[in-house]
Amino acid sequence: MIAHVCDGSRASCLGCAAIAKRRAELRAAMTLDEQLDDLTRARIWTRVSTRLARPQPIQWRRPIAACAFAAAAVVVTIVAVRHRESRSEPLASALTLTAPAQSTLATRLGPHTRAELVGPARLSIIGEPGDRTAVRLDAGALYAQFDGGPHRSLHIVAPGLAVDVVGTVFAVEVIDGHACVSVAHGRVRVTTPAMVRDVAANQRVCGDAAPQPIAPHVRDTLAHFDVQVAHHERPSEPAPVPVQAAQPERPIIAAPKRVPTVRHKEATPEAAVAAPAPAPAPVPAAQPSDDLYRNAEAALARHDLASADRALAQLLANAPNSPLVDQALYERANIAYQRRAWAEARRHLDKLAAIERTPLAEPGRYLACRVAVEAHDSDALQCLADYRNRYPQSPHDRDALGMSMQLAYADGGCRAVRPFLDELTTKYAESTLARAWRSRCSGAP
Amino acid sequence: MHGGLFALAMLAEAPRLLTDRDADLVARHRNGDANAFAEIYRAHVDAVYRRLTRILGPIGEREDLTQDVFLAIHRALPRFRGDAMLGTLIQRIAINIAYEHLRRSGRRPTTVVDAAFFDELISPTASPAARAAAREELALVFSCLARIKPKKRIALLLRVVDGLSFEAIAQLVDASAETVAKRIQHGQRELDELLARARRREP
Repeated sequence: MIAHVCDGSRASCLGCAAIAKRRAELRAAMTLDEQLDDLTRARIWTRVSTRLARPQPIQWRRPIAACAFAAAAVVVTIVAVRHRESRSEPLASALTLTAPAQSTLATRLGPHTRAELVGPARLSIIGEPGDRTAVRLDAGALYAQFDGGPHRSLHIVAPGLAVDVVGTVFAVEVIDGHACVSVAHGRVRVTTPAMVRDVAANQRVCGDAAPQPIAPHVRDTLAHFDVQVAHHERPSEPAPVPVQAAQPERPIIAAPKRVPTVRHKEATPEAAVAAPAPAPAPVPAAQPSDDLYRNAEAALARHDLASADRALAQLLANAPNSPLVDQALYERANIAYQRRAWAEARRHLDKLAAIERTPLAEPGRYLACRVAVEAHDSDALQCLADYRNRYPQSPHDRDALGMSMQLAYADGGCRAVRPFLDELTTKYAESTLARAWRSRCSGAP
Repeated sequence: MHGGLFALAMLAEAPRLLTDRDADLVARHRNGDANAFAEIYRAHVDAVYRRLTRILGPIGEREDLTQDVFLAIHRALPRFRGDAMLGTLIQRIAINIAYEHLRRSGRRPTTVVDAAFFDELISPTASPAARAAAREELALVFSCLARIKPKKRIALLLRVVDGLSFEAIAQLVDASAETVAKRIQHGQRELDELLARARRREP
């Protein structure tokens, strides 16, 4: 008979102890990786603001939607009947797109898919272009964004597997006759002779092998591709006020792009077939900024600050107009901060501050204040006050307040801390910081 | 019955008493202030990401889902009457998005959490055998958690991980406190049974 509720609160109960241990493990697992870093925060904001800048779908009223649905059902029925009739006939010669080596072909695959074919590549349209698009990738890499919706599908056949897409940004690469699928957003279904498997965002699958994390170069290329598509789709006229209002900052935080490309004029599959396959284009000088940034990221991952800084410095020297400049400056400032090279950190942050509307402006200013605090600048407290005034909703606000209190305390003890303590108690009442400061200064005059 | 069972107040998200400021931000956003939504984002993005992590675990889709949450917030703001805190609205949207994700995931194979993530949880001084065992144990917990129905899972995690009261959870998931208590109880029982069953199958 159970004499008490076994909830982990009774240390004397072995069953309770086991439950408490399991809950502690669960808490640890679910809270370990919950902190966002500044770059990720900026990247998500870029995507949000880019999506908000796209034309918003019309909000149909219910009766109109019902009529539209009925009409669509009729159309779908007709299309289905015609499709069934046409299936008995052999396919007309498949439409084929060819991208030569060192080139990229930007195209549409049907009405709902924007794609880039990175050469050397060959892709054939094996179904009728329309809501249900089917293609075959024989060679090269395909980066695509498919806008899903009712009665829409995208089916890709590649060596060793088939991919069904519901709506996502993804890549299919054919490497040495084997296909790999990488997903940036959304989810795709991959079918091989042995299994059917869903590939989620940030995963990569090659044949029947277990899913791996998406390769950095593919992730970066897809992120870049996604931003490009968003820009391409942005209306030339100003969007409605609320939409534009939500885009106050520079809408790009770019990820490095992998492939040096020759961008052909955008072509429909039909146009591409009507014209001869694009002749091999002259190979431009490779843009090194993407590779350099990737090298820097790899160096940072192995805590090799010197190599990372060198790569970033080279990026800034070689490509001063690259969209990666603000990230490079921020990373260099961070590296200098870790090395306690205050003057160098400030130099990079000054340059970052001069860039208009970068999403890294806020973390850059915060880093500048941390540099000022660490360097014992006389205006460090003012720097924090300015920062907090300018970004009152910053995720760093509580830490900035804590630093301000530390500085004030060093200067004038609890008396100087008092105004900050009131604010801390009001805004972050239950925080550890508030408790610590209350216990330190609550009894002081 | 569960009152005072989870002394997890330390982990609970402290309510941010920014009602006036939030109301001001919402008003500015409605009036077309270009920076207001960016400020709302800055103020709440960490809490949204944290909420998604605490419900879904360390899955790769969290960035995408965070993005979806803020797009939903943008759509919801014109209808926001200010009769609740903005933070509560945002948390409710985040929980809804997480719920939808779990519901969709229920029809698909479980998202595999990267094994490297487990390594971070395990003591680096443990022996290779102990590390392998701990990794398997964590993987087991995640796979069992994935088999619990989304509503029960969310209630259970809001209680166990965040230490929220039944009333607070009820407000977030739009249910009564009694319903929430039942979901938590059933969720906990299911988790225990699934774990016990899985362990019995192990050699």
